[in-house]
Amino acid sequence: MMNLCKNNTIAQSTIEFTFAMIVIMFLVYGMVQVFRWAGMDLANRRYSQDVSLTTPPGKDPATQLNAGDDLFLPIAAVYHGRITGNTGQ
Amino acid sequence: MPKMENKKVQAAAKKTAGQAAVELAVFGAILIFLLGTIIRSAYSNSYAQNQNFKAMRIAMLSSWRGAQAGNIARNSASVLFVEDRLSPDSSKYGDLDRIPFIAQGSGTFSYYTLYPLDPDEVSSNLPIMDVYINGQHFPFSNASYSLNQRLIYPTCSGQIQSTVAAQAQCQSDPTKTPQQCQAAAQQQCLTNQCFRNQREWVQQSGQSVRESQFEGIVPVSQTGSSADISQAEANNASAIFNALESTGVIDPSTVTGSELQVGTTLTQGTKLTGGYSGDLASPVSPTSLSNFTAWFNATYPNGDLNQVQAILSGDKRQYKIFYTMVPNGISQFVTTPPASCSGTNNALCATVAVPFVTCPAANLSVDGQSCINTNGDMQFDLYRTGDYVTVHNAFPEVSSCPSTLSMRCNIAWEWAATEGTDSTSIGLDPGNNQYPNYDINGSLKEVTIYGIDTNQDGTFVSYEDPTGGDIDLSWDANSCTPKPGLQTNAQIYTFTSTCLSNGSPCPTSGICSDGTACSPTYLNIKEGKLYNPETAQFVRSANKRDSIDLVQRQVQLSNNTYRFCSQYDNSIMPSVGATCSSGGQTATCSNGTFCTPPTCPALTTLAGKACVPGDICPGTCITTKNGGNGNGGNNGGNGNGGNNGGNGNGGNNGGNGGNGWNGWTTICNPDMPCLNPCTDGSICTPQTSNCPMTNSSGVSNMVPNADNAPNPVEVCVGGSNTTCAVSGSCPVNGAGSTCFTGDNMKKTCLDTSSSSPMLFVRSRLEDRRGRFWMTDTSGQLKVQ
Repeated sequence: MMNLCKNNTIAQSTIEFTFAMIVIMFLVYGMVQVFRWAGMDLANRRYSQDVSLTTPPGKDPATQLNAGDDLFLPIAAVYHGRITGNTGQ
Repeated sequence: MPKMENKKVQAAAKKTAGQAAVELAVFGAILIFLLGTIIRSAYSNSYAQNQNFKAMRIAMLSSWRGAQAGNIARNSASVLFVEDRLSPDSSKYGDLDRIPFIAQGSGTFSYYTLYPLDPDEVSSNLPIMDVYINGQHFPFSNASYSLNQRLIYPTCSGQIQSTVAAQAQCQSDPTKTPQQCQAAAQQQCLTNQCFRNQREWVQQSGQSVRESQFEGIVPVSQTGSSADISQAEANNASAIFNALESTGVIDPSTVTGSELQVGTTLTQGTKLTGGYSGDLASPVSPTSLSNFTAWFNATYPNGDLNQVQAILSGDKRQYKIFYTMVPNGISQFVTTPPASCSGTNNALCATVAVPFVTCPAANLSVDGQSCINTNGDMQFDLYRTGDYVTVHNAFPEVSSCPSTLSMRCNIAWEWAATEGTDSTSIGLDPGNNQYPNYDINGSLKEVTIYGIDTNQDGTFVSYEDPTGGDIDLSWDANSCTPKPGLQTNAQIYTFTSTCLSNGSPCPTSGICSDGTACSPTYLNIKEGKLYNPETAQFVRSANKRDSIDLVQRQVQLSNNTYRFCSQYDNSIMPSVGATCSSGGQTATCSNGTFCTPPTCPALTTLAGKACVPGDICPGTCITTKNGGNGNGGNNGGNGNGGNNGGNGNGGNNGGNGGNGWNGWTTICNPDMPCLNPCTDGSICTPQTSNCPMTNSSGVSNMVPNADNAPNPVEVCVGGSNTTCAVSGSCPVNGAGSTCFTGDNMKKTCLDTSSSSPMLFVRSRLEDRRGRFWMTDTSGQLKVQ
């Protein structure tokens, strides 16, 4: 009886199927979220920009364009310091 | 049997135990990998989209700001981003890959779209495109403005015109490098352009000033009845003719055997016609036409200068033909030339005669030296090679269009031309904002002409040249410069710290051999072992870095406009103390000033003088704009015409501002655009040349900025005495320095050794990121 219980394969496939389906469900859910995010992110950004540009803000165009006063991009383009040896300028 | 079957079943069951889990693990791993790839790609796409949008918004904003400031340099603003961003990665050493993001945006604020530039406004409103390379801002100009540029009959001696592609010819020679072949092709292009320019100077027989016309006014004494002259007199006469030749008044090719041979020394006994008087002293030849008058008066006080000036002022000896493109389908497009030509967009007239390479026999002019445009071949000589026989075969004459038999009716455009002598002949009308476009120098590219003046010194033209800026956006196969813009080659180096004294790597001790301190760069990685169930160790990982990625990109410029580097270059500018000419007068350059004529004419000389906008009177006319009615924008824009200049209010959504300039009031302005300091009540002559920009110590002034923005160029090399452009303590680099020597190799560097400079943009991207991750080991076994 003990041997039978130990080697019993009854419902094994059911258990594995259930387990696999749960995991697959999470995977599919994650995949859907990724696909949704990958597409919607681009669409939302474009929609947001179009709305911003076509809606009269009634104030400074700089605000409407959301470009700010600083036209430079936030990237450390030119490093002056001990590594490059030139600390001036 | 049942027992045996039961064992088989059990064995089979054992083999399939966990199969679904294993398959799921494999499948899931693949799926997660794919999701990771998608996320990474989506991240890059999102960033690229964001930068594209941002480029457009910045372009719109800069266009709007330009309009607010009354400047149309960025009417149609263009912004280009180039960024080398780290790519998200999960590799062992962290993010190492850099992916270039290139985004371009453009925007137009329509407030000043139709703004009519005055001639004195052009130089400060030249179009500019903005390029951001890893955050550094490069405002590149796309045009230049030349004020009162004298048209000069070119000399192309020592060169031959070739229609063979020099580059292809060079490439067949294995000893030549690609650079040499490119240089050869550019030189051949310039030579061809020179000959084209030379051919398009008209020297009409009978109308040209002949050297013989000057014979009658040479003030030599007549000795004897045979009009023999002494050796001294012959020398004097030679000096005059040599001066006229050297200054381009007399073309040696027009001198016939019956006239004095220009450029030769007369000998005693040479017979001259006409009456002569005066006793001559030994002259000193003038060095330029502007010196001619002073030299003539000093040398021949009894000479009649008026006669000389009358001949020069009425000079039809030679003038430049201005060419313009006429598209097929408009009234100015003709297949046969008109009898006479004047005004803008007229076809080459039938009687115009220019030197040629080949000419149909029927078109040879009377003197046989030039080809006349009787059958209109010149209009269809699209590359203006002067080979009119070939053109005639390719474009057969046709009486009228449409015709399927002749390309003349089916070509997209043709050349039209007129004599470039005055406003009327070229259709220049500043009062009605008519500024025509012409090719004035044989480059096959048109410029916008804002002023033209012909006097005894020659023809002077003020024009905006779209090929003269930092970046020539009109570049094509006919351009004689390298293709401008961002080059495809880029290099990335990881910069390591060195000892400044000897350039050796910084030792780990942080102390160089000379005792100075340094800090070595590092990529510090610490990792523990993966989880070991036997010892219960946990993963730990530390990644820390301190380095500089140096990204080099190259931008080929079309011209050296001196917007990024100092103007001080002895190779092209007069030295301090040298003489310069301006407005027909000569002056000595002083430090840091424009060339100042010695005298300023009194303001009273302008009283009551009528002038045309853009003309010189002899100072400068100023035009004030009368108000008009603006056009409202599409969405709430209202245009308000002012009394003195129209004002338009742009709509919120692309509305068009009003353009109210519909009239002109012209006055002689005593202030504009005098560049030299004049006292009250006087007026200066418009300037044509500059003295070098130097301070009182003779040290070159640094150009403080480029387009009112921080100058991104850190060092300039290549020119004689070219200096660094950044205000501050940049080193002076002589002719031996290059962008790859010494300290220059890590700086943004402009190499001006060529007429088309190369800009090396060195972006130093600091990377000091790090991460440290370790599981909570409290209560666990000791982590080693």
